[in-house]
Amino acid sequence: MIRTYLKLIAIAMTTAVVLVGCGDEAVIDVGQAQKPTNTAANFAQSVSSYPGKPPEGADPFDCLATPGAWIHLTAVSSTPDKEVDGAAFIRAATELIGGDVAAVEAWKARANDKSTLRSTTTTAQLAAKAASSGAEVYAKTGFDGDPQEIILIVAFKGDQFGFVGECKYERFTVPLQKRFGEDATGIVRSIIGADAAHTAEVLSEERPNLPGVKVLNPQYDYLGELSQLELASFKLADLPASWIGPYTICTRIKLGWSDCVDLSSAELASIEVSAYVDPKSPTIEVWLLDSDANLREPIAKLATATVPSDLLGSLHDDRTARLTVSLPPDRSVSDAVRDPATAGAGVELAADESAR
Amino acid sequence: MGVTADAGLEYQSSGGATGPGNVRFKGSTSAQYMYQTIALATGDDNETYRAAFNYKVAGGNHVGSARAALFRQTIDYRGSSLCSYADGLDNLNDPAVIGGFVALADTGWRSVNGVLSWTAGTSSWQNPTNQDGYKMRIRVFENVVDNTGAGQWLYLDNIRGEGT
Repeated sequence: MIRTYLKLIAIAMTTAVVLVGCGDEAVIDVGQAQKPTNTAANFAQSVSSYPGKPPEGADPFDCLATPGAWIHLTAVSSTPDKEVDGAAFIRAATELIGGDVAAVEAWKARANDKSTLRSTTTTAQLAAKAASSGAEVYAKTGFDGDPQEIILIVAFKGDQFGFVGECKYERFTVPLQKRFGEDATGIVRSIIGADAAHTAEVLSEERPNLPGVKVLNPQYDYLGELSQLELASFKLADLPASWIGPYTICTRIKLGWSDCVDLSSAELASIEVSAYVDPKSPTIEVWLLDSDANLREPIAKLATATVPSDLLGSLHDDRTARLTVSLPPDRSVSDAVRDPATAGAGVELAADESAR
Repeated sequence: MGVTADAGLEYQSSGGATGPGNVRFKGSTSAQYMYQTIALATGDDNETYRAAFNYKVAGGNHVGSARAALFRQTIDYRGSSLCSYADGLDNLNDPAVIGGFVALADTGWRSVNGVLSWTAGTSSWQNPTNQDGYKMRIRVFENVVDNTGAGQWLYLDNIRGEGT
């Protein structure tokens, strides 16, 4: 029996007490933490103040998935409009983007004007700083059911992002960067305007923990990179008995890795898989890896070939290539593992047009 | 559920194989696919898996083929935890995918020539090596055209990866 353990997503259980940690709160400078360095070069740090030790707070992923409405702050006043009991009112030109139905309706139904949002003085100043630097600034509102109350603010500049406010670099930006690596900016962009359920789904996905290694996966193509690639088919012509073993063969292009075939049996090795090809640089590599296709430790490169452009057609047409690898029966997978430098001897990679 | 860049996927509210809902899928080439992914934590359990789907086409002159394939991606549930998990698992809250997508099971290309009623397709059972867990991705590919050569929809229901 398969025992499936569902990852706990605690959004439905989020309480008002937990939500307090999503917003800004007074921070006592206890002088225990080191100020981040290189602030001038780091956009994310520039939109986050650092008064001292980051306060304890709710899980940033839970906070991001708090129900709310996303507002584009198209211009932000450089000074808070007014301050009342420690809360500052950010005056901004706003544009509703989307979000959870109830929060969106609450925003629309606001009786007062829609140009003020409530946060802290520091957050207001940092939001204004981000906007004046040319960054796109978005606020998620609806904290504790109040459409005027900000849950969080995030800014984008070029290919960088940063959460705006006190300690937001440490509490939000860094955890997102750690979890999603180079995909983080695209992933944060993908939740702007999304509702809580979609946000939780996006943020709860297990992702490859492969520093410097990218799996070409349409599920996480938030930047649309894969739509600029051709998706070809890839298979082994045959699996000689000498190549059967606990290994896999995968294809790779400059942008990242495509699928793998399993060499543990002739039946599995016969399954056709997919291989991305960059039409601007149609060179594809074929690699031997272990049985888990551990991309951090590829064993040996077996072949490199340039796919003829006439086989690929043009992007988004109904043509693509079919790639086939032939392994030499007079050599073995053990030979390839033992001597990676000569692993590609006798390996051939052929390409022809894939018929629809 | 998703699709690759040049593929279409539409929900159908009636006419399914075992209930009203079903989907139809069309890729620009036979390499395009639709997919759905789940994560399994299996620990030291020894499991077998297969791909399965129900398919049909909408016209008697629609010909070609379709296939469903199951892919695995190894998950390492790392570190330690005070929780006592079953099956030798350490910490279900710290998963790490450590590899690429490896083909695990395949129905092979099934003819859909004029197949106007729901038809079941299954792969053989496969038994991957024990790991902490796998992300399992079911993919469906199609290669359906009409008598003018124009691509046509493949209708699908009960697309699934099965385990024992």
